[in-house]
Formats: sequence, C-alpha cells, structure tokens
Amino acid sequence: MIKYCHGSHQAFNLLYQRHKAASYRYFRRQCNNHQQAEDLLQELWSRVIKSQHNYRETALFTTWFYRIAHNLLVDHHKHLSLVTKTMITEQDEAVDQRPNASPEHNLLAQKQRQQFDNCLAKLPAVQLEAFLIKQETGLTMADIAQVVDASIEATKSRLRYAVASLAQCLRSLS
Amino acid sequence: MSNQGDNELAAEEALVSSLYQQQATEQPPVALDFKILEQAKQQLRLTTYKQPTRSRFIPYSVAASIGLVGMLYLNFPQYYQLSQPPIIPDFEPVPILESSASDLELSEQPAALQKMKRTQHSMAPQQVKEAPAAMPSASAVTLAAKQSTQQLTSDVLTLSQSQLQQIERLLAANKKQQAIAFLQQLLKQQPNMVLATKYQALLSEDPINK
Repeated sequence: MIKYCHGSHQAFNLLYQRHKAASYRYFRRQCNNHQQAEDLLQELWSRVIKSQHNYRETALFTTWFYRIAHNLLVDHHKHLSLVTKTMITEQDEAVDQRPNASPEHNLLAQKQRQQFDNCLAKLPAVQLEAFLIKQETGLTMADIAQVVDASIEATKSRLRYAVASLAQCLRSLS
Repeated sequence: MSNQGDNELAAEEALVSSLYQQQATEQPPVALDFKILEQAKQQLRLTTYKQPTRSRFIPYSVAASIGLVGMLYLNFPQYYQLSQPPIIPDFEPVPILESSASDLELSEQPAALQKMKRTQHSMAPQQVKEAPAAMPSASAVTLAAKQSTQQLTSDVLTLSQSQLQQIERLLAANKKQQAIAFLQQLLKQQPNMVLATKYQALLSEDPINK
C-alpha cells in the first residue's frame, strides 16, 4: 500500500490480486445477489484508492481494508433497512467446474456447496461476518474484533457459535 | 471434560474450515477487475500530475521576476541605482525683503511695493543666502505688510514714479516754483492725493498757501 502511495501501480496490482477474491466472497455471502456484491466490491476498492493517504504503516493492511468493508456493508444494510440478514437464495452463481474432474465429481461438489451455503444462510449476521473474516483473512481474534467493532470476547463467542452451528447443520444434512 | 470439549470444538472448526476452503472459489468478474485497476491507475496519474504542477512553474516565475526587475532597472536607473544617493531638491528659502516701518512712507508706498515685487523676482537664491544679516525682523515685516494693506484698501492716491521724478528734476534744477505749480496741478486733478512730508513742506513755502 505504501508503495502504491508512492506511485507504484504494480504494487496496487499485487495488492488487488491478493485480496480481491476474499473480499468478493466476503460481500457475496452477505448480500442478496452477486450484483450487490460486485457493486460493494467496486465501492470498497474505490474507497481504498481514494483514501490511500489515510493508511498508516503501523496498521495491518488487512485490518484497515476489512474495516472499510465492514463499514460499507453496515451502510448497505442500513440502506436496505434490513434488520436481520437475508442470505443468498438465488442459484445464479457460477458452479466450480474443474476441467479434469468427472461429471459425477462435479455434481457431488455442487451438492456439497449448496448444503454448505444453506448452513451458512442460517447463521446470524454477526456470526457469519466473524466466521467469513476468519476464514478469508486468517486475522487474529484481536484484529477481527477491531474490524467488526466488538470486544475480543464477543468475537470469540460469535466464532465459536458459528462453527458449532455450521457443524451441526452439516451433520444433519449428511 | 473441558479438554474433551475443546478438542471436539477444534475438530469441528478444522472440518468446517476445510469444507469452506473447498467451496470458496468464487472470483469477481474480469470486467470488474479491469475497472478497479483502471481506476487505481487513473488516481495514480492524477496524484503524480498534481505534485509537479507547482514546481513546474517555478523556473518561469523566477525568470519573469528577474526580467521585470531588469526592465525597471534599465528604464528607471535614477530610482534603482544603489550607489547614487537619492535626489532631494535644494531647499530655497523664501526671500525676505529689506524693509521696515520707517521706510514705508505713505507717499512712497507704490514705489516700495514695486521694488518689493521686482526684488522678489530678480533676487537669486544665492543672494538671499549671502545676506542673512540684512534681514529685518519678523515684526518689522509684519508691520510693513499691515501698513501697505491699509494703504491699498483706503483708496488713497499717491504720486507715481514719473511724477516723482519730474518733481525731483525740477527741484534739482532749482525750479522750486515750477515744482510747486506742478504739485498744485496734481492736487487739483486728484484732490484725494496724499503727499509726502517733504512735498507738503514744499507746498507750505508757497506764499499763496501761506
């Protein structure tokens, strides 16, 4: 980020390639459809570009980045007047088609994915956000707490409940 | 018991995490990637152009300033040459006339005034500087000015220069009677005329007046 501030587009490109998928999935799993996720992703990177000089070397880039993403999402949910999170219900997303995999394997993977998505959809918004940040970024509990603007204990609790709920859900489906 | 619970939780977490990582393969569209990267490039161009715009004009402004100063120096050297002292015009004191109340006799007032005027115009500043001792006191000058003002404002007529010269010429030629006759003629023509003491005494010598 510092290199980009000093005029290196290459540095930004590297940063974008490193974080684009994770940030996209972060929005994708918390929005109603892929269009909203794409809009939010574009807005997120736009804010990063514009507020590049606000970034301080002392802060971890991922923490700073997901803090912006969290605020964006909160604004988005406020805008939609959503009190409780609504999860993905549509089936418009691209299926992971592995070129060398057999059709049976692809079908099985698609089924597993749908089951996992259904389980994720049942999670409360705060638990889902904590879980997604943990899975996508690998940040420490303290950093996740900073991103979601909660205490470390509350964040730990959210994560624990999220994992337990997902495991229970997956067991019941299988 | 708690250790067992923690282990179970850790195992569940590992399982859920691996399942998530298996299916978390979505990527943003390529078009969106291009848009974002282009925006970053554009912002970079804006910020890199902003910084040199200030410094780019510095040489031009310096050159313009030097040119302006040079032009002023060449066109107006008397103001911009530091070696020469500033030009201050010499102080010229106002010429003060040598006169006093006793000199300003009523009959000789016009002549005195003319002399004052002539002196004012002809007297060089150098002469004025050289004769400071001859200057009358301020009170004398004020008194003379007062008297001359009074004379001019009361419509009193006095002898002209030519008349005075003629009388003086007649007296010099011992033609006292003719001078008296001339004075009487002038008094007849101008009854308001005031004569000097000398001429009044001359008129009183006339047997007819006695």
